[in-house]
Parts: sequence; structure tokens; C-alpha cells
Amino acid sequence: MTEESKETTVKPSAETAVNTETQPKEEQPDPKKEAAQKVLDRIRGLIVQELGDHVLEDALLMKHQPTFVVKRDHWLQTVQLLRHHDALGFDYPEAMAGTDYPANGYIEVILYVYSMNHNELIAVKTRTPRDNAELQSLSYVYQGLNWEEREIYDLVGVKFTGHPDLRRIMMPEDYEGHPLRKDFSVWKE
Amino acid sequence: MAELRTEEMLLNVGPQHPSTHGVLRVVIKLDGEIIREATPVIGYLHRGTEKLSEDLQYQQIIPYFDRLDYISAMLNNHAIVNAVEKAMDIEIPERAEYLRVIVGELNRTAAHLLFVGAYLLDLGAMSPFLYVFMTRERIIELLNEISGARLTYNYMRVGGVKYDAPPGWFAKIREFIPYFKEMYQLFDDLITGNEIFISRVKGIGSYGQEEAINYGLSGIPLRSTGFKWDLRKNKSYSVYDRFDFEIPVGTNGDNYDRYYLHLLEMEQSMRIVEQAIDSIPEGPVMGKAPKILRIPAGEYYAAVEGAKGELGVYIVSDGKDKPYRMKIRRPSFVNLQIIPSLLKDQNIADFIAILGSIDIVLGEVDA
Amino acid sequence: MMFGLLKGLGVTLRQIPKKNVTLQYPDVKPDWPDRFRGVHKFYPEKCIVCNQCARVCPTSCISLSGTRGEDKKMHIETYDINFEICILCDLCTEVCPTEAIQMTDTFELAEYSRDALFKNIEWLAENGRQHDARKGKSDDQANHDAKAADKAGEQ
Ligand code: SF4
Ligand code: SF4
Repeated sequence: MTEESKETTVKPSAETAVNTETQPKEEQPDPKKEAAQKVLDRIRGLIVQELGDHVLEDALLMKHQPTFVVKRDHWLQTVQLLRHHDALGFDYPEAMAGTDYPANGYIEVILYVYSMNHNELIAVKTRTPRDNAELQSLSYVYQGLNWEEREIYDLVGVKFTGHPDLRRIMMPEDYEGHPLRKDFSVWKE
Repeated sequence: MAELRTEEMLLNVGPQHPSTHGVLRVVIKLDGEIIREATPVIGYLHRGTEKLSEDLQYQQIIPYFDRLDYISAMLNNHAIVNAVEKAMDIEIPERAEYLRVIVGELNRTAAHLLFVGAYLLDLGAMSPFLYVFMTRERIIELLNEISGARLTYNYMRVGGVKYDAPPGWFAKIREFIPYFKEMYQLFDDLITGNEIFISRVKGIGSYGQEEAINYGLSGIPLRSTGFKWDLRKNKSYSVYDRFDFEIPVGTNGDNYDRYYLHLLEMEQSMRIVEQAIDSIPEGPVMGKAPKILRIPAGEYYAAVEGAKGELGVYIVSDGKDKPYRMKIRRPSFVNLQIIPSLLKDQNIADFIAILGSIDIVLGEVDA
Repeated sequence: MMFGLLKGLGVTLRQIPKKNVTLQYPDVKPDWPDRFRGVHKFYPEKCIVCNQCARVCPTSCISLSGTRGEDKKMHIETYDINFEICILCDLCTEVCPTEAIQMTDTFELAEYSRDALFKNIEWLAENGRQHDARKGKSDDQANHDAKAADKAGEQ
């Protein structure tokens, strides 16, 4: 996992390396990958042009999936740009998930957004330290993320600042702990 | 006349209410008969499928998916096996793809039938429910015959499907189709032609396209606004691109459109089934898949069109035989979010009509 | 207004002469298809104690133990399935190399106590004998062969 995320776009990712091993014709470019690379480059260009170089930590392909790793402080700003910029127009929130990486000391939140006009799906993610995990809330950009953020707050334990109604959603109000954290245990010592 | 003194009242609907379709609880703030605020409270059926999955091998996760949206388990099966196959680049035999489409569409029809029956029951019409169950029972029996269970099928496997169709199964579907068409006509006449029903649903609980997209709605709640969005066409998976079918859309995004789209979609599903059983190729139903499934390290997202909308699976793998993290994008969960804004300033009498039309299953909302 | 109501009434009337679709359940049992996944049956003599079924079970509800007999083969000693948590998913019968564990058409599992849902090797074997008697051995053999053919196809 960690090697994966450290990779930049220049290097082929782990799974494509496996693919080229199994396929003898190594020179053959994968059209799907090329198309994805084009999308990635275009959107990265736009983000850098509008917000500057410093908001992005990384931009990579996760198996044909353009993915942008955004710095935590620019999370809301970047997603707002993705949503409202005419050439981007990512208006449909598809899925949002938080993943705990205790080994690396951070929690990663990933958001899949789709552009109905351009028919493109991209993933944006950001990382927050595990202790005092906190992110800007996106629920005003996409109303549909209201509950998703509540779920992440409840199960992974990321606090979303600016969320209108940040309460537990699955577990009872007085529940302690966040079940989807890797160090969670139901047996209290 | 002395001025009427009004006072807000708190009303608790559910979690043990027959019309909330499971254990949904809605706390309503009432002013007279007008709903001022509605807050859904969920989590009563939370079983932690995502957490459990982290401890299970991929083939063991499939039965857990059966229990999300338990009335359309075949489509849930498809979601998980599709996600794993996409991540691992597994090719599956043609016949298995066709079988998946057939059972999936049959199951979609069964789920929509149940919606129609239950929705009418919510609105006080008892008999359509019985007719619907008569029809649905035949589908359930067909699925029972091929998979061995009536609801929790656990039929699909990574790399194919568990069984080939039993002898005479396709003939039984061929027999069922005219019966379905007859019953479909009956529902259309009986329900859509009923003035009482129409006056309770037409123009009520409507929202616009932009709002629907911003809320991330999918499935019929999105299509009812006139937005043509169906993963079977827009991001075609499996062999859906080989069949000729339409995506019916509504115009007003109201209760009536949502109800009627369920009917129209059943008709299209049956069209797909008809074409699929005519053109299903011979061959094996299980392809080459490793015995122990290990997804290469990375993150993957793949979705299928479930009965309620986009059913997506996001898998983070660290290269082991179990997912590091699995997130299920449950359409019912996302669709339910629009309820507070829909119910605002509506009559309490319309509460059930609006809630029912969104078509949620609590097993999926709570996962 | 009236027209819709009358039409509904017409549908009801047309239904009256038709055949019943319901069963008088406890007296008349439903006829399940061959693949129906009901409560398990177990053939102790077939089991080679490979533990595959217990390992694949997603709810970990199978517990078994065996000993090595004088003929150097493993023999099953205890085999329990906890039907409180068994989800009748069929994965155990799918992996069993010798078809020692199979599923029957028994589906009535209601009990008065939770302990009673803990079925041991005798109960499962007895369930198998009853099921075989009900189905007739030849039928069972056919079923078995079909399953074996399925397995061959899968590999
Ligand atoms: S049917 Fe499934 S849950 Fe039940 S014992 Fe077999 S593997 Fe376990
Ligand atoms: S898989 Fe079959 S042979 Fe192996 S222990 Fe289980 S019942 Fe016995």
C-alpha cells in the first residue's frame, strides 16, 4: 500500500508491471491507460493553473483511475474548484470512504466524483493525522456527502469542521471508539 | 374568534413502524399537520459488513452481500464479484455473464414488484400486494431453482457462477414471461388507473434534477427527474451492451414518476431476460480463477446498477487474500438523505407516500 | 372516480374461480428443488477431517475434531454446527472434497432454546438418514453425481 501511494505517474504502478510481464508485447500501449493519463494530465494542469502547485501532493493512476492526492489544508478549496470550474464540473459525488493506516500514522479520506458533462470519474484524496483527525467538511459543496461524512466520523473518527450536523450515524450516541480504525477492539482492557 | 394557539409537537415514527420498511426511525417536528422538520435516525440494523469484510476472504464476503439489500441479492452478488474481477482482471465465460444478467434482471423485477406492492400497501391498498406477491413468487421460485435459496442466493462466484441453469429452467422463464406481461397489464390498469391512488401521489414529493445530482441520488430517484442515468448503459458492465433496452425516465421527479418508473423498468428487465435466454451461448459457467483470491495492492472502485441505484464497492487491498478496507456505496443510504428536505413543509398525511416512494431497504441503509 | 373502483372489483371477481396459490403449510410441505439449501446432513464415514469446511465458513460456526485411527486414516469424532449463526450459504458443502457434508431440504429450525440450535454429529447424521429415506437413495446418488459434475466443471 505505501509503495503504491509513493509512486508518481512516471513509474508504472505495481499492477501494470505485473500485466506487462504476463503479456509478451511490451511495447503495445494500453489505450485505456493512455486515455486515463490524458484526463489526469489535463485536470492536474487545471488545478495547478487555478490554485498553484502547492495544493497537490501527488497525481497518479490507480489502475486506470486518475487520482489526486490533495494537501489537507486545501481539501475544501480543491473540491470546490472541481465542482464549480466550467472545464471540470464534477457535480456528482459517487462515493466517499475513510481508511485508517496506523503504520503510516494517517487516515486517508477518498472521494470519487463524477462529471456528468464530461463523463469522467476521478478520485481525490487527502490525509489527516490519526490523532485529532480533522478535515474540512464538503457537505456544503455536495449535499450528498452529509451522511457520508457522518459515517466516516462515526466509524473512522475523522472530525469534519463546518459540518452542519456531525453526529454518530450508525452507532449509538454514547458509543466509544471508532470501529473501522484498525486498532479498535470490542474487548475493552 | 380568539387567536389559535399553536405548539410544535414531536412525533416519533418507527423504528417499529410497519410503513418504514424495516427499522427506520424518523423524528418529526409537527406544527399542526405540517411537518416542520424530519430527522431520520438509522443504524438499528447496522451489522458492520464493512468491518466484517476485513476479516473475510473474498469468496466469503459474497454471502454477506446477500444481506445488504436482501430483496435483490443477485444484484448485490454481481456488485462484489464484478468489483473483484475488475481489480484482478479476471475474464469470465460468456455463459456465466448471460446467466448473471438473467438472474439479475429477474431479481430486479422481483424487487420492483415488491416495491409496487409495498408502496400500495403503505397507501392503504391491500389487494395489489397480494397480486404482486403471486407474481413475485414465481420469480423467487425460478431463482430458488437455480441457486438453492429464495432470498440470500450466494449464487455468483469470482470467475463465474456457481451452477449452470437446471434442465428446463429457460423453458420455465419462457412460460413465465407471458404471465408476467398479463399481470403487468393488470397492475397498470388497476393501479395507474385508480384515481384515488393518483391523487395521492401526483405532484407530491418532487425535486429537481440539480438537487438530485447534488445529493448523489442514483437509480429511480434520479431518473424520475428526467435524468437518463443508468450504469447498465452509461458505464456498461457485464454484457448489458448486447441487449436492446431502454432507460425509462420521468419528468417531474414526484412520487408518481417514481412509482411508474418501477413498472416501466420491470418491462425493460423482462425484455433483457427475453433476449438473453434466446441468445445465451453454450459453454462453461466457471472460468479460470485462482483458488485463493489475492487482489494486487491498490485501490479499486467498481459499481453496478442495483435495484435501488448505484451499488459500488471500493476495495483497498494490501495484496493479501482479505481486503484491507472495503467500503460499500449503498444506494439506499445515499438516497435516503434527501428525505429531510423532501418532507419539510409537507402534510403529515403525505409522509408515508414520500418515504415509500424513495424505495429504501434498511438492510442496505445500515449495512 | 367510480370507473377505477369498478375495474378493481372486476379483477377481484375474476380471481375467485382460479386455483389457490397458497399452501396449507404445516400439513402440506412445499416441494423444494434439488439444489435447495436447507439444514445440513453429515456422513461421518466419508469425512477425512481435512478441516476445509470449518476454514471456509464465513461465520465460523463449524467446529470439528478427529483422531488418527489404526489404519492411519483420520476419523471424525465431533462435528458441530451452530445454527444460531449458520447462514446456510453452502460454502462448506462446496469445498468438501468427499461430499461428507451436504445440504438437505429441511428448513424448520425453530427451537425453544438457543442451546438446541447447536447440532452435533449424531443429529446431523440422523438428518442425513431421514433425508435419504425421504428422497430415496437412488435420487440422492443422482444428486451427488450432479454435484460432482458441477465440481468438475468448476475446476
Ligand atoms: S452453510 Fe455457510 S455458514 Fe453454514 S456451516 Fe456451511 S459454510 Fe458455515
Ligand atoms: S470438508 Fe468435508 S471431509 Fe473435510 S472436514 Fe469438512 S466435512 Fe470432513
